[in-house]
Amino acid sequence: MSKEIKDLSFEKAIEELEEIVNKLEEGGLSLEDSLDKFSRGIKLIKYCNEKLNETEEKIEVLIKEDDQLQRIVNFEEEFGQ
Amino acid sequence: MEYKIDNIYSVSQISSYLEALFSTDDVLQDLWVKGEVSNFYKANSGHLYFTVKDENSQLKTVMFRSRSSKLDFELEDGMEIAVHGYINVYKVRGEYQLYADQIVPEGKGTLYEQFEKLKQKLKEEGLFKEENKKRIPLIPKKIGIVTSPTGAAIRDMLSVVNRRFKNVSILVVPSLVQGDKAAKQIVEGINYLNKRDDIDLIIVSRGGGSIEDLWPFNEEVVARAIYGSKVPVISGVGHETDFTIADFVADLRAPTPSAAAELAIANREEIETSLDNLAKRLLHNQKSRITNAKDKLSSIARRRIFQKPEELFVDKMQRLDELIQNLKWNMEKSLNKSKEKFNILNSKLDTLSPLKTIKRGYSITYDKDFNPITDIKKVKKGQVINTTVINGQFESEVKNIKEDGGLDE
Repeated sequence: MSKEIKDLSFEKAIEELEEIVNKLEEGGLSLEDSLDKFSRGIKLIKYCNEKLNETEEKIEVLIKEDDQLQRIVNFEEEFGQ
Repeated sequence: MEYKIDNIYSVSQISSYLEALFSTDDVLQDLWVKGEVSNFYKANSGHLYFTVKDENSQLKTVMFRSRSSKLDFELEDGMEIAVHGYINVYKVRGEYQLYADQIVPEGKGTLYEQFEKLKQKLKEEGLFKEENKKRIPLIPKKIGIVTSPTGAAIRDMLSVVNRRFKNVSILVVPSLVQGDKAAKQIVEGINYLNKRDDIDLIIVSRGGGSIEDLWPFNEEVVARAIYGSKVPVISGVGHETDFTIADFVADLRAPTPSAAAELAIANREEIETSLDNLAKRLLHNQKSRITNAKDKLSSIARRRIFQKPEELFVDKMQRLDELIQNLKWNMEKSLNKSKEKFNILNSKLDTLSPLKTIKRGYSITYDKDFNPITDIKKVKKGQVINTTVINGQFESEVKNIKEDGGLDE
């Protein structure tokens, strides 16, 4: 629970976020606890969004020569029509 | 010699008759024959001619190029094989022969048999078990695709990626996907992607084709490479109806290459939606939570006790007054009781006092130690005694003692 958010995998972060929302919706927490959970939830959402957007968009292909893996080039440049 | 020639046939007629007979025979139209290859000859046209024989017999066989080009091994004399095809008449020579469409080196069995055998073996080893399957990452950072870079499969997959989702990184590892070198290259591709540290999902794929075309994906080495992959593997081989060993062992089977791409990235869309939903729920919940708390607070603040706090004490003040009143009353009561008691005692004391008696003419006589003399026997002749009357005392000497003449006789 108290694990640093940046050390979480995306899957774990989503999982924890779900747990938090469910707990909050169940009710029964003190206002203080629910505020803590809420702020953790907000941080998790921010983190997940960052993860979703950090992937760079690249389509590449490996070039083999004489059965040896040689270099990686842009796919469209090599095989695009 | 004389011949009856009413019923005479031409050679062609006989050949045609035999051809018709052969063609309608169920056994001859679809059969497997096993034996040893001899007189093998590959014509420039690509057709293969050979004889299949055993100790006693020979069967002429032909395999046309359309079929022979798909063989994944080189036929040669002396090889033990099983041949599938049909038998018919080659009218030019008046010979029957086997028209082959499939050849399997003996010992290996048919492709179907090999498939079933390997499938059974790997299943028993646990390679297909659900619990051994790895989870497909929700948002793969970089997908490695092992396929032909020029095939239909990669085109299909990239068009799915471009249409549906841009934010994904892909590394294509080129591989042959049919023929006898394909399996080795597919394995190399999977192993290469596992050595990199940036790949979190692998797709192995090729487009549709015959069972021979898809065969590399039924090879044990490929199955083992997929099973051994640390990175989760999606298989997308052929069409919906094609099932390969690779499909069984993969962490996720996609029916086609396009579907494989969809499965790899569909998660992302779902995740974005569900993340949105979670965020909405979180905010909504907290909002209503705070509103509720505020409402509760203000309803508490509205209660009497906060409006008229003095009411907290009124009761107690009243009670205090009562107690003081009680105390006063009790004290008075006990004081009166004491007074009364005092008066009674006082009047009793008055009654018992000897003063009045003495006033009436009585006196008290003491010995020298001022003990009152109450007994005649304690008096002696000549004893000096003291007498007290109401207004003084006098001393006297006892002259005579009479024991009779007392007051209590």
